[in-house]
Parts: sequence; structure tokens; C-alpha cells
Amino acid sequence: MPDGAAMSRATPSLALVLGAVSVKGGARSDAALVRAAQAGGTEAIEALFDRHWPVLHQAAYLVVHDAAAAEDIAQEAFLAGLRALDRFDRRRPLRPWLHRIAVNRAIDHARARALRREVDGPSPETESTAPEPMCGLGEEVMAALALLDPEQRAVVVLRHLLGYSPGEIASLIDVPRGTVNSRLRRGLDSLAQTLGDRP
Amino acid sequence: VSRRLPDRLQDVTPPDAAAARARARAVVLAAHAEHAGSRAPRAARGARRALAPVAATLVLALGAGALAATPPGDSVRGWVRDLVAGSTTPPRPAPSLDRLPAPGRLLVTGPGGAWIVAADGSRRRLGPYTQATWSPHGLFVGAVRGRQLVAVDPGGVVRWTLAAPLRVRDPRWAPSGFRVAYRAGASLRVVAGDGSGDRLIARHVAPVAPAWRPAGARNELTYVDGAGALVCVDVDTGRRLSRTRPVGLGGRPRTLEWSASGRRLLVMGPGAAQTLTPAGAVAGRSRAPAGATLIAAALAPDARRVALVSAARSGHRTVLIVTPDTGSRTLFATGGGGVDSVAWSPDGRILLVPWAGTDQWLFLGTGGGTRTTAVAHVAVQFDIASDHPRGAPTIDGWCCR
Repeated sequence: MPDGAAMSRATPSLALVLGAVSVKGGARSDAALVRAAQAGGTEAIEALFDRHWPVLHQAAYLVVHDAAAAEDIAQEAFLAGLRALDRFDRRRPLRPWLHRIAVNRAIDHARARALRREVDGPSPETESTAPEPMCGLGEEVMAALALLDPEQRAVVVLRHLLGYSPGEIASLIDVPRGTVNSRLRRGLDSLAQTLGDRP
Repeated sequence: VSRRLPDRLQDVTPPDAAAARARARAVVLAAHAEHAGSRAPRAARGARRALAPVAATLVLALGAGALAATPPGDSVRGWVRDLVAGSTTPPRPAPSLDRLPAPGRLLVTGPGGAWIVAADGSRRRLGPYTQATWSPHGLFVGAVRGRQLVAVDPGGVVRWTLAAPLRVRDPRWAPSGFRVAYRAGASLRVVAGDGSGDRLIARHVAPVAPAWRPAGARNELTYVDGAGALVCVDVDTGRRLSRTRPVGLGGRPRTLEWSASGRRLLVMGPGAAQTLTPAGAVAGRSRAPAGATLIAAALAPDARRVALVSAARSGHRTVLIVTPDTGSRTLFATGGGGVDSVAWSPDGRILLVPWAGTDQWLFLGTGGGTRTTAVAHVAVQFDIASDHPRGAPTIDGWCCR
């Protein structure tokens, strides 16, 4: 009596799809997802969240250096997006719009915290916002970023994590392009000094 | 300074990122539901309520019709219908394995023991081992036989043997070369590369092979604990580096694999595969086809592509290559059952698919003009009787450039 494996071996049924076929069915564009979300589609919201959350959260964390605040900031950016969903112009790209909200809120938060520290002095809460140990990477660069002021951190993150040009950054955070360049230069000089040739 | 900065920034992830993501996701979806509800005009809501029973009946009727008309396996075919498929018949298989179509050597295990296949197709039996792992440069093989972990050289000479109290599974040699991890019963243990210093790492872990993170001289090991969370530990200091509970996998993790750079961790669950950053944030994700379950995944050497094997309820298998960061998917092969693993060649150009249902190995060319080839009568070439119930040899590694 042949067993299952032998049976299946005796009746091969195999089709190969050779070469690099197909990318349809892959990622839908942000514009298509926004259109679906405007029509009430929950799946579209899920897809937009899954696509943009990791970078938004990470960017906020790199600017504020506070896990709880970064979560709040990234979440608020999404909620602000939801509130404006009906009015959102689908011809505009979604990504910079979300990044603008998140990074500006992150700068505001970091500034306010720095101000509180000046007024009140260091508190156990502010000291406890140092990054927690992670699986290997990232600790050195977080320590080096901590030496920059929030505005410098923001332009470094916008330029070197999110890939915006200085002109685009100027528009996103509403400062002159020359200011972006000088913040970027000072930030990179400081990182080079702290990290040596390691960046 | 700026050249390597993007990579270093990407390595930084907020602590407890997966939990933060799950919390935020729930908040955002709840807000959306509330927002959508408040937008719907009162009249429309009333009409929707009145139509709801009719719509439900229609959906049920359509669903029943579709079920009745759908032969087994069509759920997968339905899912790939979107693909611009250019189906062809498989290549004519060579009668025996004359040479490997890419550089390196294969490590193969099965009912006929463990074997090494050289680039010229020659095979050497190492011994009666059931699972095996290459050392980082292919100088040794860590192999398993019952309650024993054995280190052998590629000639089959035993260098050391370690007896464990319980059955040994899933040996994994660290990229540093100095440690070998393995599961013994429900526990996870680590021994030095020379067979000394065997010690317990975790008392209760999930039945999933652990994965070493390439981290220079450090020996960092990731495993799935008894609660289904991903734990990363420095085995030399005993320091736990992170513990992350993955979400969105459709169940507990079943496969772990670190990229050679140590910057991406592939985690596969029954419903989805994800690539994670070292701190556990999701960098990319690919869901299983509707109605199918993921049963194998392998990260390409370039760390961008992932080969996935999915199984429909009928047993029908589909092999896909996905790029989780962009969501693109490429269907490479589909057919009857018997595919339980896949392996990338060290140069990333060939995906080896052992297809037990046809007793063939398929070497799928995945780009760069690489041809797809096949080899027939595989089982007998590894001393496995053609009617053996578990007759397919498994690929335990393809080493090294």
C-alpha cells in the first residue's frame, strides 16, 4: 500500500512561473490608500499606519530621546491626519505631511523639556528618559545625538534618516534654507567629534 | 561622517517599539471608526441598517456559491490571479546532481543521514545525523544524533561529542565561530566551539530554532521564549538585551533568521513574515496569501528579499519571493505538496526548493539572467528509499562563497 508521500511523488503537479514576473498586488500608493480611507476603509487606514508608523515613531524618538513622548507624538501625528482626512488633497504626498507634523511636535516637546530643566533643574523623570539597552546597535549614536540641541537633531534626522533635501527641510520646519544648512553642519561636526570616524 | 549615518540612525529604535506600535494602532483605528461613524449622514445610517440583513444574506449566498465552485487550492490561485503570470512547464530535470549552479557547498540531512554536497555535485556522507549546521566558514559541521551534539569536520571525522540529558535539536553555530546554540528538550543551551563550557541559557523556550545575530566578537542570540516573545541575549555576559512580543504574525513565531549585517531579523509566523530592526521595530511585512499558512521563510543574502513558502488547506504549495520593505511579491513556483524548506545560494542568485512531491530539487534563478534548473531522483542520491514516508532530504545550509 503506497503511503501519502509516495502517492504524491507518483503524481507530480508542478507549475513554475519563471523570471521576474509580477509586482501587481504589491504596495498600493499612498494616494490610493488615502482615497480608500476617505471612503471609510479601515484596511486602508491600517495599511497607511503600517507603512508610516515605524519611521514616524523612530524619527520622533531620535529627536526627543524619550520613548513615551515619541509614541505620543507619532500617534498625535496620525490622529491629526485622521482629523484632516476629509480635507486632505490627494495630489499632495502624504509622507512629508505626516513628517512635518511629527517633527515639529518633537522639536516643540524637546524645547519645552529643555526649558523645564532650566527652570526646575534635573528631575528623576527627565533623567530616566535615557535610551534603554537594546539588542546591540544604536546606543552610541543615541548618546552622540543627545549632545545636539533639538533643532540640530531634527535636521539631522530629516536629512539622514528621512532623506529630505535642505530645501525640503526648510519648508517642512519653516526656517530659511541657510539655517538648515548651518544646523546640519554643526550637527554633523558634533557627531563626527563624538563618534570619531564611526558614523 | 554622513556616509554611514543613515544606517546608524536606522539602527536606533524606540524601546518597546512593538508594544507602542500595537497601542497606537488600536488608538488610531478606534479614532477612525469613531470618525467614520460621525461622518455618515443620519439618513444614510438608517438606510444602511435597513439594508444590512439583505447585504448579509447576499454575502453568505455568494460565499456559499464560491465555496461550492472552488476546488481545493484555488484560494491560493485566486490570490495570485493578480500577478502577471507567465506560467511555463518546469525545466527538464537532470537525472542526477552533477554540479551546483552557484558557488558553495550544501549541507543536507534526511533519513539517510547528513551529507555535504560539493560544488561539483560530489556527495560525502558525514554520519547518521538528523540535523546539522555549518560553522561560519564551513570548516566544521555541528550535527545532532538523538541526545548528542557532535562537531565533525567536512571529512566526517568527529572532533567532539556532547551528551545532553534530553533530545537535541536545532543546532546553530555562532558567526563568531566560538559558540554553538542548541535546544535540549524545552531548554536552550550554548556550548563553546571546542565542546567545552556547556551551559543553560533559558529553561523553557518555544520549539523554534534560535538565531545568532552577527555582532562582531559579541555572541548575541535571539530565541522565542515560552510566552512567544523574542528575546535577545548576550550569552557571554548573560545580559538580556531586549524582549519583544511580536504582533501581526497571525500566531507565534516559527522561524528566525538574522541578516549577515545584523541589522535585520526575519521573523515568520503562520500569517505573516516581518523584518525587524535590532530593537524589534517592524521594518517590513508580508502577509500569507488568503486562506494559506506560511510554513517556511529564508532571508536572501542581500537582506532585502525573503523567500516564502505557503501552504493552502489542500496542501498546495506556493513559493514567493517578497520584498517586505516595499510590499512587492514575485510568484516563482506553485504546485502540489511537499515543499517544506528553501535555501538561498551564498551569492543570492539561486533559490533551492526541495520539492518532495516530485522528488526533485529546483534551483530557481531569481535574477541576473540566472537559469532555472532541476534535478530528479533526489531521494535515492541521499540513500533514501523511494517509498520512505519522510523521504525528502532537507537543506540545512548553503555555505560559503
